[in-house]
Amino acid sequence: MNRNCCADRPYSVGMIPILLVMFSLCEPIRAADAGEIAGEWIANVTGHPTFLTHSYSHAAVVDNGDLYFVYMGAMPDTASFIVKYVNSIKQWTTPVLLGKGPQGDPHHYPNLVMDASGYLHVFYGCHATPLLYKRSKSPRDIKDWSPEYRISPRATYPRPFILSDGRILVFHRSNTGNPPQMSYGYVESKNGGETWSEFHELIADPDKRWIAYVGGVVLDVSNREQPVAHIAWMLSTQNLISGEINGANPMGQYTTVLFCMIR
Amino acid sequence: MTPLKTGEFFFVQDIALLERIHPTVQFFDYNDKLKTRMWIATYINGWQFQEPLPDTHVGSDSVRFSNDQGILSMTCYASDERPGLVLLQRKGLQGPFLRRQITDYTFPYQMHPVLVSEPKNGLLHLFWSEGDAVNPANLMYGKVSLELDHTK
Repeated sequence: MNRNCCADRPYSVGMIPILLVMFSLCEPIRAADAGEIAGEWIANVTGHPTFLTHSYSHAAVVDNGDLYFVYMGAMPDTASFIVKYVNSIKQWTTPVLLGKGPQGDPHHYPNLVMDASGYLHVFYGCHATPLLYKRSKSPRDIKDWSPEYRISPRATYPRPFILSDGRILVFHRSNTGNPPQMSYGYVESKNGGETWSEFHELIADPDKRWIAYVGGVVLDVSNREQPVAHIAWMLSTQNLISGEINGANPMGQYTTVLFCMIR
Repeated sequence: MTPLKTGEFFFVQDIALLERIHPTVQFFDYNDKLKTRMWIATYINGWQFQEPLPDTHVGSDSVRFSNDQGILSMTCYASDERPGLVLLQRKGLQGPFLRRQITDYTFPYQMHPVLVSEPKNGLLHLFWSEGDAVNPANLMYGKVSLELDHTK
């Protein structure tokens, strides 16, 4: 497979900064109590104590009452698994191993999307390391998977999306260069995951001082011909000497500028 | 690019498109270390700021957004008179949220909820983990209706 084909850049970045500070002028909102949510334990599914599920992960897919969920297993290998709820028999399947990232790093959580034909695409196992990818061999079937492919050389925090025209976009932070530049962007496949584009940069780190932490990405697909990505991120400083990132703990030393990009 | 908030000790958590077109960002203000504040900001001819859970500490690690049929759904970790993981939902841009308790744990290892909507069947599915800081956590699952009744 050709993993290096270039693609057109569908998302240009229009930069029109408008500073708006309309803060603390509103009344707090009271929340009305609506009861409790009954939770059930999904048998045989256990994982990393703090990263079994991940706030950055697109981990779940629902399809005609069936549920698919990917998660990271327990230490030390922090492998990725998938489990399925089969609505017709009201049961969860036995988890299936997808693959492993480098050992002992809870960043390697998996992400899952389903395309219009029912094929499942998983992205996992990266932290400034190759972004790993597999596709299910059959629609809606979690048993058998393609070989593992590396679709971006040094990636962190992948977030996949499938557009109505079938394109697959995987947003992530890239850590390329020497010293590494923490830019943010995406790779793209126009043929169902057969081949992937080079990394398209959206948020640059021009002076090697800043690191972008992206809280979320959402796609506006109201115009099918021209979908728009909205990205909410903040910038944190990076120590130029040690490479240490100030503010790995959000209660600590974050020096942030919070943005929302609207194209 | 539209700057939302400039300064120290802010943490952006997630973004949704309210009513499919209005970017809505969830973020935290840690400038008062003893009283974290959670905010949402919706862009409609400028940023409109709201604070969904007043008088409540929240933890950034338990927050997700989802949006379908004009419903804003988010989870957060509350530490008010009834601590734990909670789901907040409301339809539209203004007004009170409905609050549903998911867990009652005071130690926040029921973290990182995953929300996925199923508009066809009017359901919101939730996944979250429960455990402690050492042992493997359990995956938990629950679901709620997307039909919100503020009269109950």
